[in-house]
Amino acid sequence: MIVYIDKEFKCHVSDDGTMTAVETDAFNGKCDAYIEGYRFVPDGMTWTRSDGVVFEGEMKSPWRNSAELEAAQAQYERDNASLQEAYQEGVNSAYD
Amino acid sequence: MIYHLTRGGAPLNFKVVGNPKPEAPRENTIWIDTDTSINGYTLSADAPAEPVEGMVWIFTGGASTAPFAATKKNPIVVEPAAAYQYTGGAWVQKTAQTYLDGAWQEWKIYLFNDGQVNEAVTGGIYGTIQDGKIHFSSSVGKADNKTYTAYQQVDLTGINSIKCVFTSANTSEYAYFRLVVTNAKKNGDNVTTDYLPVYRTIKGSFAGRRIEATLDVSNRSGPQWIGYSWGVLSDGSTQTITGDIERWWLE
Repeated sequence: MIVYIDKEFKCHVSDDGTMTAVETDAFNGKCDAYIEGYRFVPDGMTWTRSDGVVFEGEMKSPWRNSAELEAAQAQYERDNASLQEAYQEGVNSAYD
Repeated sequence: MIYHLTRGGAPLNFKVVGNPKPEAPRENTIWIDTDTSINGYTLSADAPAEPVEGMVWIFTGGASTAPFAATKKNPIVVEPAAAYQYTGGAWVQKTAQTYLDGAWQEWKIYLFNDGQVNEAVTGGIYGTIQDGKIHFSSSVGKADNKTYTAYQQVDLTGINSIKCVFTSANTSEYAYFRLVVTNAKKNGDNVTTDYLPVYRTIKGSFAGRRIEATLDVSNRSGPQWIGYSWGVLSDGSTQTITGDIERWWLE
């Protein structure tokens, strides 16, 4: 999938015209809230954390609290499961 | 980790100082690499709830490389792992060392060092220890990898980075080494990047170079499955990868 990264390598699901498109499998199946809480540093590039530590790509690491991101992803998966279940019930009832 | 308590008060046996680094330090001097005045300090596993500007928090995590006796009688042994100073409304990690046995000792929580696994922190590590290193030598297929973790979750609270130093004789551009945080214990399984909450991949020919890999975990705290992978990219081909992790630690 394509994600867009800004100058701080923070991920976005849409481009505001200033971002760089990156193709990666690292966020397959993940909801927008999860993706946009992450930083993705492509191979060959570097990011410097606020304390001065330098990180080279390729690296995927959260810039928001990881527990919040995983809670958002878990809710997304529950919502999808409910939708799928409702859809299947609808299909099944069509054959009744 | 504090593993003995005194009764009543006991004189402290250490001193916390900032820059300039003392040239003739006393035993148990803790030097914090900061030009900002140190306004008090605390030793704890959790960040102080009400910090003040300039306060130093000495994080006491798992087994450290610089344990010291914090009191003179019935000693309380402190195992410092990291130091932070509260400046500008945030905790900023600072380099810190302790003067012990006539030399400055760095603070790190080693997971593996000098051929030894830190079992107190890791419980053990999946993989092979050979010639004092975590050794890997196996055939790996295209788009495949072999991921190994510690036997138990490692608490990353207060930890900002995972680092390791490794070497590999590999000369293929399609092989890679990866530092990872996974969602489960792994012992040689293939784990794709969408199942890795945090990772750092180093691709390409290593050709015997000693390489230091660093992974940002500053926003991933609590008990975590940490590990490493050796793999081949999807546009590569089956090949034998050989590599050794010399040191692996938390900062």
